[in-house]
Amino acid sequence: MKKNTLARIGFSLPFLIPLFLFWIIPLISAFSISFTDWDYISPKFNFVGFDNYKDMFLDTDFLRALQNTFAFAFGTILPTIVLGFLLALIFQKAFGGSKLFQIIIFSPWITPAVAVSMVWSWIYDPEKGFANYLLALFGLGPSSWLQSSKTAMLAIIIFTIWKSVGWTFLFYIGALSQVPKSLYEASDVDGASYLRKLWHITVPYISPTTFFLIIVNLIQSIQVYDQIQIMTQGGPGGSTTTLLYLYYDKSFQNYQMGPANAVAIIILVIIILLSLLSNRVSKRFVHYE
Amino acid sequence: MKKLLSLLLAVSLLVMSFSACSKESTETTEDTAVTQVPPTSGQEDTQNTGNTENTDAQSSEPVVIEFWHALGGTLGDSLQTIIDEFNASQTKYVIKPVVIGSYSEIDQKLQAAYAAKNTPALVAGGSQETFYQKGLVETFEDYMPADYDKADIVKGFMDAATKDGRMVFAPAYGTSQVLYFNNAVLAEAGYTKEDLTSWQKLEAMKDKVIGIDTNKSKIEYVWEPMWGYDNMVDVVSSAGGKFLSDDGKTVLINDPIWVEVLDQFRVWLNEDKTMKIHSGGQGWEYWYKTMDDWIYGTALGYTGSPGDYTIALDGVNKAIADGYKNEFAIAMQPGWKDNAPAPFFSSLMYFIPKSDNVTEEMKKGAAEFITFATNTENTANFSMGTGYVAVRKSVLDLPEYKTYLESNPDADVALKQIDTYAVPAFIDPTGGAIYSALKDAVDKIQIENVSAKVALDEAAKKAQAELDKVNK
Amino acid sequence: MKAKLISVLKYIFLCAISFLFLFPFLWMLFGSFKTNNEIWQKPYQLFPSNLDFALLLKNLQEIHLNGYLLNSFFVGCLGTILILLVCSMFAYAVVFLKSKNMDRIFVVVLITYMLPGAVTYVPSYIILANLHMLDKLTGLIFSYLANVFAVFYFRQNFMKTSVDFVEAAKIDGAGHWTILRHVILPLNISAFCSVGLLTFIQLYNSYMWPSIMLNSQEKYLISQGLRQFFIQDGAYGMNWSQVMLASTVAVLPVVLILIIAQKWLIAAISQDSGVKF
Repeated sequence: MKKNTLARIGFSLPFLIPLFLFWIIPLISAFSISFTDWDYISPKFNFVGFDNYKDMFLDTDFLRALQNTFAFAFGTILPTIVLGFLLALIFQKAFGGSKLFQIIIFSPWITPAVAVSMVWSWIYDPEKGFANYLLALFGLGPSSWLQSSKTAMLAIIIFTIWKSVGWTFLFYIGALSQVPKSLYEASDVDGASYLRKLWHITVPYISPTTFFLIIVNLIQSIQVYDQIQIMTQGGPGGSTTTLLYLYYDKSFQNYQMGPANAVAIIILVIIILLSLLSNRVSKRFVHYE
Repeated sequence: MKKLLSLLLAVSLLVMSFSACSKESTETTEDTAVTQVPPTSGQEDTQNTGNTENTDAQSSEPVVIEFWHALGGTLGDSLQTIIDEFNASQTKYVIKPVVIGSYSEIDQKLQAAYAAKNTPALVAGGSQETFYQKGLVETFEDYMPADYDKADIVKGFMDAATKDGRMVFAPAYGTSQVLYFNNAVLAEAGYTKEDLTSWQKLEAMKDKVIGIDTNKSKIEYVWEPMWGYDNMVDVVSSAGGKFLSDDGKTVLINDPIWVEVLDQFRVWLNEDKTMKIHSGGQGWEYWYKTMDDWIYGTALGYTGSPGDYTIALDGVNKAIADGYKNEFAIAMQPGWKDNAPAPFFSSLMYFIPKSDNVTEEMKKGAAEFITFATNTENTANFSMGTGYVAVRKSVLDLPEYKTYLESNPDADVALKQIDTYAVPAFIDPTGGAIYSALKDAVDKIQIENVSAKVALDEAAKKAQAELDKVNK
Repeated sequence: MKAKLISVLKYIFLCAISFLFLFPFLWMLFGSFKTNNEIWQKPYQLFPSNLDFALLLKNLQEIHLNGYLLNSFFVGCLGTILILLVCSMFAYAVVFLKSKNMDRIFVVVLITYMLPGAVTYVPSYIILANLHMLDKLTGLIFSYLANVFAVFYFRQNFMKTSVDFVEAAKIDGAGHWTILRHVILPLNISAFCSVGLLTFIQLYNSYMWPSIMLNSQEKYLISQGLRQFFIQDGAYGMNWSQVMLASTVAVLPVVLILIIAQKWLIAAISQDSGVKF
């Protein structure tokens, strides 16, 4: 027993120390500062109770950022999961060159956001970019993409899907490969169509993976910052300002650490709630073997 | 396989610990140079002189002064020359420059640095007003060496640098936006510089100017006022508008003057399309695209910074050599209707952060460098090298400067504007919230064609709420 | 017949998709060879008018990316090795050294995973400053060590590892470190490989946090290095082909790694995707 306790401590400390320093302490300080009007640099500050939170819910910027965050999350998670799944289906049976295509689909995920965001800014250029050129090929009018508050969010969403679908795609490939062939064969005997097999065998079998991917994608989409900062800086007119971008704005541009941390805590609460919700939903839909 | 992997693991652990050690040793020498060591209880004073070997305050090791600024390209080169000269001219201090990407990044990093008691000893640019209001800026006058000539500084800049009768910041160079325009096209349309006295007159030129052939291109826009609120507030000021009421309690950014000016630009930009702005993109991309339009004959001109001077002159000369029809010229900003112009001017300031890790020696050294960098000769050199306005009156008496003015067309327009019309920049008592609200509104008006009244009303509401908090 | 048609359609579809996915890279790559005007011209054109390799080499030397690349590699390699070590050890403790306390600790770890990284920046900055690890690559690595995703992934895999092996090793008198090294590690090689690869990519590409805590330009990672091109005052007349070249060079190493390691990566993910929370 003693040996085990020593091992427990020895094996956990190297992880727990950085966790404590760089995650737990910041979490606690974010929580406490959200109740003050401190700006991190003045020597004195005041406790303001729930004022920061109250003001936040009355602030149009915050409400818009909340809306943008949900729009962005929904707009990226759903297509990513669906596209990732559909693309993976294509690869369910091996064929020549499949490995190459897999690499190609995965490649955007591994690139530094900074490098590709720059190229995409050019792609989205309303006058000379490739995006409008493509639209023209299909007979559609040019879009202002990043320049208009009506289309900027869509542009960022498209970019984010492009960048992250590969990761989801690979996970689905793995999951699909684990579905026992025997299940399919059994239903073939009953004369089941492809779609039937898909809906009644494949989808339920890989539901744990779907659940996992939804949670991870959710957490990642709420943390998106790099591409917004590079492509739109939260604009135009605040249309691409998500909650996290709002946090950056308040904390680093305006030194309002109190309200900024209140935003951060709200983000945390939202993520926790959504995860719990997904957990509840998963109990109904996810089938573990 | 297992053996190989465990061997690999062991070797990498070993390598890691060695490399960490060697990185530590190279880092410690760097560290003594950079003096970022924050004081914790029980640390000797020697650490603070940036020198771990010598306990004697009068060490032979130079005091290193970390200096943050945001000038790159040719502007940065001019500053670097001054830094190098200073370092070579004496052995007591060494200036270690760190080039930060933008002024907002300086603010960002400074905030973290203040929090960690780890600031540089000297900064040029950033939101010095905000830091001053929080009590985080040393008073320059306290460390000013005897040879710093206060009286020689141009009054407008000196006023901006003085708080409660003492000089807190030190002006580095001055700026006030001016008009860069294509004189060849202007002449062909039958106008002269004197016709640029009001925005209305400028816009009326569109009929004759738009469509003029510039050899490899043709004029499509009569003017590019540049994206952003900076130039818009200059026009509002010329129209008689103010940011705050005289008692400082009410925000005025949605009063009739503001609405009139901004809506007029909205119409020119979005409905008439006689003017254009470039927006978005990375960093200064939109700025350079705007300059390109003027240089390569697509627009009559643009509203720009005196700091563009060297770059712009160069660009135009290259374009002319390439065959484009252009002639370099600068003019002061126009007025609004019958009002005389009243654009803002401001000065980039040097300031010394107040933080426990900045020692007395470092502050003195920083002040010495400021004095050197802004002495008459260096101020003149910097001004000639970049186009920014010199902060010292004595510069105008220098023979080199006089020669420079003769051979460089319109190099002193910004200076003249500051002398005659320009007014001191507005200082935001909310630490940036009013400007922030205005920025969103101007974006909506300029880019999205939202009515000025709607956008400004919304901005005024936000700004007023912030102002009320400050005034409470 | 129907099967053949479907197959052909599949290939056409995949090729179209691939073009869409690859397009930005092609644009970067070809942009390195174009002149400023060619890049900006309308109507747009993908291919450069000529392939001047001599100019390319000259530009490569001018842009000085090697420092940044080295930094990214250093942080990526060292960081990955340490994270693999630290996180696998903790996952081992969570799975094989279970106790009430461990479970409680694990719940706390779960909650920190949901905290947006950005919120930790300023406090982490202060802590690093107090530890004298600011503006150092080692400080950067230290702050990255607590990688919760790695712990989840390892836990996942360790839970699937048959307890029999562990029991057998214990009977033989093996200590925990020996068990981890000689039993768990070999049985979960694919997990270590995939976590290692994903972690390396993440560290290599990192942008926000390093740009806050690294001040010296010579310590910048590749993403920051790239950004330098754009933001400095006075950088008019930017050489866009150099920027394109820089972007390509920044992206190339990870792409190469992907190509080399894809066999492991894809195989690893396929084996381990029966994930459970």
